[in-house]
Amino acid sequence: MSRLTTGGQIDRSQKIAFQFDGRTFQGFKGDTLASALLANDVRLVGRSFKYHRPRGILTAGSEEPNALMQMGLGDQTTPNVRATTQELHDGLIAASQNRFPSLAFDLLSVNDLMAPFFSAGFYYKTFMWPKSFWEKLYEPIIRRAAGLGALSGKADTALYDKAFAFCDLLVIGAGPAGLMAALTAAKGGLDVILADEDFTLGGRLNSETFEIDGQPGRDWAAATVAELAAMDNVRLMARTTVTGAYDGGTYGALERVSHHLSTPPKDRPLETFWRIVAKRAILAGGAIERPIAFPNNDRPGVMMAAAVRSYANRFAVAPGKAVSVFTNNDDGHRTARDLVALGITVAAVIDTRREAPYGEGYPVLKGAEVTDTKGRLGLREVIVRTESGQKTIKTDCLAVSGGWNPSVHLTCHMNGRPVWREDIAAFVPVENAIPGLLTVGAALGDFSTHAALATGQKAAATVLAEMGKTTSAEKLPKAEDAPIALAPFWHVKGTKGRAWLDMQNDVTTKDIVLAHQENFRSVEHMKRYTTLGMATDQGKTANMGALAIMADLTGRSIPQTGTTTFRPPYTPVAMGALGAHGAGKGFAPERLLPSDTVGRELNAHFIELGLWYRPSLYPLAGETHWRHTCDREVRMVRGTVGITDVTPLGKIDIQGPDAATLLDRVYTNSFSTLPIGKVRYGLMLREDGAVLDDGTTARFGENHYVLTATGGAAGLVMTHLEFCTQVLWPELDVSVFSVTDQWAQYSIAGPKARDLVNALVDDPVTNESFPYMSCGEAMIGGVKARLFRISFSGELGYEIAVPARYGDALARALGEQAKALGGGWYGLEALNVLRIEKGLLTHAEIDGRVTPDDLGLGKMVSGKKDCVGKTLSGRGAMLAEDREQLVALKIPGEVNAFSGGGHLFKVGEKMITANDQGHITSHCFSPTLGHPIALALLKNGRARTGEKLVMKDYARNLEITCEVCAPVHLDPKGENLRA
Amino acid sequence: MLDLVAKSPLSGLLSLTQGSVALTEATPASIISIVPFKGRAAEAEAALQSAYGVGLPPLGGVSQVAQNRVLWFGDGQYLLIADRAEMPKITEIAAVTDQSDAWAVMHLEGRDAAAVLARLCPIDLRPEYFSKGQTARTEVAHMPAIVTPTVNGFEIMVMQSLVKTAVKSLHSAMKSVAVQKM
Amino acid sequence: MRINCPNCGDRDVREFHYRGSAKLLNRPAPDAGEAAFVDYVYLRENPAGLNRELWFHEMGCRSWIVAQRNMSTHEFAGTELARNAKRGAK
Repeated sequence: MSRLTTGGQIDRSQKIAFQFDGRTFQGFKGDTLASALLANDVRLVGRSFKYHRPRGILTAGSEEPNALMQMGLGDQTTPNVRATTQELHDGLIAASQNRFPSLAFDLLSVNDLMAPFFSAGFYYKTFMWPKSFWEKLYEPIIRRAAGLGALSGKADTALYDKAFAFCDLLVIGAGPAGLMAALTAAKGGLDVILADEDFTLGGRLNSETFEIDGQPGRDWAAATVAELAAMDNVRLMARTTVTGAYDGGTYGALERVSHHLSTPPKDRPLETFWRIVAKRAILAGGAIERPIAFPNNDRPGVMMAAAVRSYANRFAVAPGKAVSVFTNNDDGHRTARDLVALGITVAAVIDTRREAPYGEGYPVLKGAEVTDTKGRLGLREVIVRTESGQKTIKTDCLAVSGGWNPSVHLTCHMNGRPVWREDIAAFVPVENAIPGLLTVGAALGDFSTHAALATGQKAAATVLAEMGKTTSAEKLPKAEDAPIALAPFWHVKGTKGRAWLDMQNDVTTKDIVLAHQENFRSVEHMKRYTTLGMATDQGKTANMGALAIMADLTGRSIPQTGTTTFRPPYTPVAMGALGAHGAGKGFAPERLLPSDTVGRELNAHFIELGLWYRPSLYPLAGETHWRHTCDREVRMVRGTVGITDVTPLGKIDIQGPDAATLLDRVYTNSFSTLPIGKVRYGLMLREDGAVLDDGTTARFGENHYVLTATGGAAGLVMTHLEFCTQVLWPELDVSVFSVTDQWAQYSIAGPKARDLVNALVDDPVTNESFPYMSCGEAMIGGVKARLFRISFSGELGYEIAVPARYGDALARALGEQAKALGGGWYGLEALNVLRIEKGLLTHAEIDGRVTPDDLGLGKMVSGKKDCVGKTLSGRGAMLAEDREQLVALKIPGEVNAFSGGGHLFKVGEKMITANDQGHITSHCFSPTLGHPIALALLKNGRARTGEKLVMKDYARNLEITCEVCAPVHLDPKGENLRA
Repeated sequence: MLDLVAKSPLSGLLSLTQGSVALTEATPASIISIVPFKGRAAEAEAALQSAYGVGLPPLGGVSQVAQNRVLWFGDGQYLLIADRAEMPKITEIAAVTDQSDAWAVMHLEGRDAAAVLARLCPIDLRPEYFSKGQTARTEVAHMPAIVTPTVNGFEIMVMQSLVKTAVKSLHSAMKSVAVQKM
Repeated sequence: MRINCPNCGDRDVREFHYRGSAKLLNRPAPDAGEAAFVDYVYLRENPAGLNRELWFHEMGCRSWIVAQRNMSTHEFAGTELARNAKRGAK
């Protein structure tokens, strides 16, 4: 055990048992998985992506490239979880990734010996040909050999949530800068959200031995957090990573709600994805320590120096028995001092600077560099080049510090390009990269605790002033203000062996050299050629080193070489969190018919159309195939009477002195001439001349119409009408209001339709009193209803509408009466057959390309008035002879079926795109005619009646010969309608 | 003799309680849309004043006297929530439609009502910005909705055909919040 | 992205539907001819700066809105109701 006996922010009274690769270990409350593994002397935690190199824990934060774990079992498996951020909890199950058969003995580590073949660009060069080998041979092998975690292959049953939050100020990061900013702003009266990815707020204060106002920094942090928690205007969000900055002060944030719980209560989400809208934001995201590249720097036991301090100070873990430090700055010495204070042996501090400070209880090698490391599955010794020659140092942990990179990531999300700051040799955010966001503390390159507190306080004061609030004169707490003492040093030169830059994607310094040789010198090219920075950590610890090497190779400075673009998310976000509420039926709302319950009682089959769930069939006992049901329902309508729920038809109420004018302008035909109490079929165009929708409109009064739109296009038509009244002609005095949900509407069709209507209405109707295309009001069962004499089947037809609350009762009454007349319910399948038999249109034909002329409705475009789309529907090309026109097709004497989307060809012609004559839009078997029929769009179709064609459906491998006929198969004079 | 019996779209779905929050059905008298024709708003308002004692609310507002309310619904559009029987004849000065059956009306109330609604509705629900006397047309679980603050939560109106999904979504959010506030 | 609806105030972009250039305010006269309508329906400027465009507050008050948006930065310089917006030449 490497656990120190005292100290740290762990609760030694709460022991936690967990599993790693099948073995049970013990940790404490307050541990991360990484700190608990280190405490148990587990150093080897994974195999690398490409070369299967043994890897250990490099960092103590979300920037971790190596220690990625497969968490959980079965469908609750989450791959690529950072051990460094995973809170330890009882029963936690973790497994290492990318190894076979075991972590210590990995067969694919042979890849490492073949490294010369796996350098950058290897895939592009090697697996280019033969092309057919890619899918069958190369890709499966690569997929198996390379990679990180694995998906379970099962649906994720975890619950994800999402939510919106609003605040005056979002503070991102709860280190000294963030805490100070939040406290100042909250005291000034702002509504503050403080978010931090860690489960203990305080940032580096939890990992350092700094004092603030004479007390340990972590105590100051805890006290400040407690003060903030007690304020009503503050929301603290721990375990919450702000993942992206977006337009208009919107930020994405992922809250890990239950990952730290052993058995989360039912209904508790695993994660919540937040959209936070903030008037202002302060980025206090800190900085990420950067490594130095040297040969075999990826061996387990090589860690970042600040991470070593975190494990020692915060988690009370000695990361090694004899720790050495490799540094180019004074921070490395801080690690050595802290370790010495904890009684941990420091073997040496290897400082690249000749002017390095003297050691306080540890030896210092000045002007020295690590040139290699040894140890098969973990660090055993390091080889050091000093001015006095080569030295070997026995050490099991090497703490590396190459300086710090401010966490500029969020400031790049809206195209901001960070700028170079020479004194810290790092990129810092440009001002106003994200409108409304100020950067403070280490994220700004101001690394001391004093600077963090001071910039945090100042930024909050700026925000307060901008928002018209005053800052209370708070004294700034006292804290260390050590200057930055660093000599840029990126990689050890003049060595052999591979030096790792991007440990997650296995990219070495040699790959950068190769990219340069092959002229991939722009940063963006280099990145794509080597895949550097393109793994799940986005190269947080890798990019700067690569940039420095490319700068060296090209003889340019680092800022001239450029920086890569950071994009959201800052750390990976599960698809489940982004798609929260959208799993399964959560994907779209369900619209239910007023007769929904009735349909379900009758065991109807429902299908989704638009958002509506509509019965497609009402099967009776003994009907074993959908066609049995469909054919029976069609015969029922043609023979007696059928009822169906047509509530989804868009019902739009139009009132006002200019109601008629509006309709004349949106419909191709005239509605100002429609008598009150009458209904007319209308055609609506888009301005480009294509048909938008068709439907009937009823006139209930001089200035009152009710327009119906196709169910699936109801929203589109409503939006179009609002566009017309607000954008095109705001001077019109007319109101357009949806009443779709107000009315339950049923269609009654068939020779006995009038008998059915008269069985229900108080005052019976006759053909004379209420002729075809009439509309009016009627009383049914004590309720005022609307009655229409219209048909979508070619039969005598009525539609009755009642206020929706009576829809269920009316459906039951209709069903009962229909049954008494030998009829009943029919579904969408039968409705479709009925309308195809009559050549009536749906949006299968109105496909967004057809013009009125294509549909044979050219005469409906009135010559007497303008309407939307009139001019452009009259363009030559829109009327050309070779356009596809609506026709019907039949297959006399054949039992073969048509195929939706099947294409039409001239008999004997090669069936290729160039010879395409058109396609099937709708088809069915007509029980009335006894053979299959179809509607189709066919080139110059109206002139081709009687012609034989071949229909080919390559997808279903179907080929039939058919004959062109007129679109109306049944009752072409419409005598049934008017009977 | 046929007698059509009314059935609420919420029948069998409510009430629901989770933690501090309850979702219940509200049964307003009638809901009537009123869109005064050009230049006739004052006349429409006067008619409403004399019949119901309420005037037209400002942008995003609600005017209320006793149980009679007028909700701002859109540009020059209002929803009267009151007894239909008292409705003056104003069809010459305004477009009027009955919306009583178009909307399902629910109350989401309790200490954490805003936290629940914030999971489904993208508007700023903080009381400083959205409180009694205001109303908003927005979305709730991707459905068009009218959200109106009450003393202890929100009145939520959704299209009746969508109400089952709305209740399901609200209930899920209620459960999520309740379990996290435990 | 946030859009300031002149009726409803600051709202999330998800409530809105984008329709493109506010050129659509200026529908040609019925007798303007084919060329004028082709220009109206199809031809658009693509400025790297302010664009006058139409948004529809579909999941809100259902108002059509004319917005000035910087196409390079997505910043909005102002919004107004389409029914009040100036027609004719810019």
